[in-house]
Amino acid sequence: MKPKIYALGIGHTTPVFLDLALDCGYEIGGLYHYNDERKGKAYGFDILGSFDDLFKEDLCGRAFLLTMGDMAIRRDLTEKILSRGGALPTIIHPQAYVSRWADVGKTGVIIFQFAEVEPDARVADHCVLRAQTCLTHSSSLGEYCFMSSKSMIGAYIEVSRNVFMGMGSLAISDKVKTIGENAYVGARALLTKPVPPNAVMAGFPAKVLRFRDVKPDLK
Amino acid sequence: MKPGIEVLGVGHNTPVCMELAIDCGYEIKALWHYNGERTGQTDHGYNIRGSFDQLFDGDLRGRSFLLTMGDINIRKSLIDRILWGGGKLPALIHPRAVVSHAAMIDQCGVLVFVFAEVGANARVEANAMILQQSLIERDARIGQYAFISQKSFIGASSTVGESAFIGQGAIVERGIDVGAGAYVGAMAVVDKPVAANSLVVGDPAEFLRKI
Repeated sequence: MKPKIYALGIGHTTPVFLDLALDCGYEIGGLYHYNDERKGKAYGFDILGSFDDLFKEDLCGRAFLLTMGDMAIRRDLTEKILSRGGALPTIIHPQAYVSRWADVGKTGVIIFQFAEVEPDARVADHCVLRAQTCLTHSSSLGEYCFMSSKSMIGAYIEVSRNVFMGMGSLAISDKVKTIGENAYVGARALLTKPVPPNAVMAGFPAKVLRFRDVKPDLK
Repeated sequence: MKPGIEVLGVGHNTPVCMELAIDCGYEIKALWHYNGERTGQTDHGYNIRGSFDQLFDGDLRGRSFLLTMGDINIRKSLIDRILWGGGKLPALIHPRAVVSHAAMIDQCGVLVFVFAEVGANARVEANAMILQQSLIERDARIGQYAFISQKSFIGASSTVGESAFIGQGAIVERGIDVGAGAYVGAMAVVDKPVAANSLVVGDPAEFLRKI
């Protein structure tokens, strides 16, 4: 029998995550929306209620899938689900390539098709690796990192938590060394040196545009 | 029975190459390190049998080898010694790379990693390395010992010269030649020919210096 999973969020990225769960052999048990304005069905699956409805229930023994891209929301929902006994399984697309010597967190990691995770790379819990990303050998991602499609982390780079890599961005092997927490890297940016925490980076080669004002509860 | 392969070099890139060999159906028989300091230890579960000197003291005939270091001069000298001693360097093409039936891949030492793509009539010469998620278009030619980094894109009918290095995510446009020993920086977009032994960077790629 197929394992059942419940999806949180109904939005543009939702079917992207539903596809992944379906390709990984899950049955979608239903959807929950952030408020109670949605009824009926979405993408062919029953809308079971709002997040508030869900968090009144006992979540023990149930598996969940977050379908939004915003990492702050994902983090908030992750904490609520785990504290109520729900599970957030790591989901890896059968057409991704994850090295037998990679260390991937068991909770809430989402890895899409054609992503590649090399030997001795580490992916902490709750990271999202979109399609065609590459995490090169001997590098690591902290919790809640988001790698947009086609972005790449070269070798020997330590990425802190809550880092966003924009579409097609690249951190060059060895030269970058570290990417500080909450850093935000623009699309197609080329990182050539270490990135300080909270920096917003863009360009070719990338420069610091400004620093993010990160809420204390996200630090 | 699985064919055996012996691995030269014990470093950070070693498991990447070993995994390619394993995925291609080989069994890792032994590792050899550049010196004797790690003899008897293991790396990723495989035994380090001895130093390069000890390896080359033995009879290499009928044995298959895989090089895992990046330094091209070290690679060249080891390849010469292996072939001189009668050893083989089998080409390894990942089962999840997509290589055209009409591509010509030299059977000596070429490595094609997962998710790489090699188009029709493309020619990949001995000991070239085609890394993950890179794309070699139709009719392109990749010279001996060339290194094509992850996510780079070699356009149709382009040539990458012997021992040239194409950086991560770089693009060589259609019909453009990159000279022998040239070095193309990460994410560079090469829209005009690159002279031998030149370093080019940027979009569009500009000459930076000789190497």
